[in-house]
Amino acid sequence: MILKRKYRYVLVLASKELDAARETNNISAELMRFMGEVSYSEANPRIVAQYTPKLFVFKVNRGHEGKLILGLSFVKQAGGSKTGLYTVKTSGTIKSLLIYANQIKD
Amino acid sequence: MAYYDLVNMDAPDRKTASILGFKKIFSKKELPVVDNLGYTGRCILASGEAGMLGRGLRRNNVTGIMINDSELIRMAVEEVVDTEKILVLPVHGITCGETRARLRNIYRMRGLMATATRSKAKIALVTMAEDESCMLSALQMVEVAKFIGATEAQAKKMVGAIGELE
Repeated sequence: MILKRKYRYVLVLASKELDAARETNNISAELMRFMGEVSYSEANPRIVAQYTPKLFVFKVNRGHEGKLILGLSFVKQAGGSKTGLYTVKTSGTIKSLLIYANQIKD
Repeated sequence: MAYYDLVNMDAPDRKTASILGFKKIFSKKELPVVDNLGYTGRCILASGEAGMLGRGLRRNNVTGIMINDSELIRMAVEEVVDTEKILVLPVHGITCGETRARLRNIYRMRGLMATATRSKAKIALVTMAEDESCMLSALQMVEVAKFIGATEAQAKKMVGAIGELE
C-alpha cells in the first residue's frame, strides 16, 4: 500500500519586497543553518508560490510546520538586506491561503 | 485567544498588527521600559540590581519587571509571585542576536522560564523589537515560547499576558 504524503502550507509575509524565486537558495541556506540538516531534511520546506512581492507560500511535510515557523523566526537576512519573515497562517490546502492572501494583500 | 506584543520602537499600524495575529502591539511610548525608579508613569522596570527590583515591585506604577542578571532570577521571581506583577521576557536576544550571544541567551531564557513556570509567576513574552526585521508574528512567538520550555497552553497564555495592561 502506498501512503499518500501530506503537507502543510505556510503563508509568509516579508518585511521588505523580495523575489522569492531568486532568494530560495539564500533562505534555504539560512533555514538549514538554524534548523540543522536533520530537521531540515525531515521538514523539507520549499517555496511553492508567490502572491505579491511580500507574500509567499512554503510547502512543508505535515507535522514539521512548527520547526519551519521557529526556523523562520531566526532568519533576518534575505534579498541582500535585513528582512524579517513573519508566518501569517498555516493551512492544509494552498487554495485557502490564496483566499486569505487576497484579503490581506492591500 | 487575543495576543499582544511590546516593541522598542514606534508600533506598526493596527492592520499590520492584525495581519501578524496580534490584537494590539504596544509601542515604547505607551509602555516604556525604564532602568530607574524616577519615572512616575506606568512602566516596566528593567534592572540587574536586586534592591532596585525589590523597590520597583512595591511601586504601583511599575506593572512588570525585566531581569537583566540571571543570578537574580530566583529572588525576583518569588517577589513577582508575591506582588502579582508581570515578569516580562524579551525574545529579541534569541531571534535577533548574533550566534554566540544567541546561544547564551537561549540558555539563560530556558533557565528563567523553568524557574518562573515552576513558581507559577505571571510571564509575558514580548519581542522588544528595535526594528521591523526583529518583529515576529503571534504564531512565531508561540513557537519560540515552546522552544524555550513552555507547553502549548502556557505559550499561548504568555503571548497574551501583556494585554492585561491595555
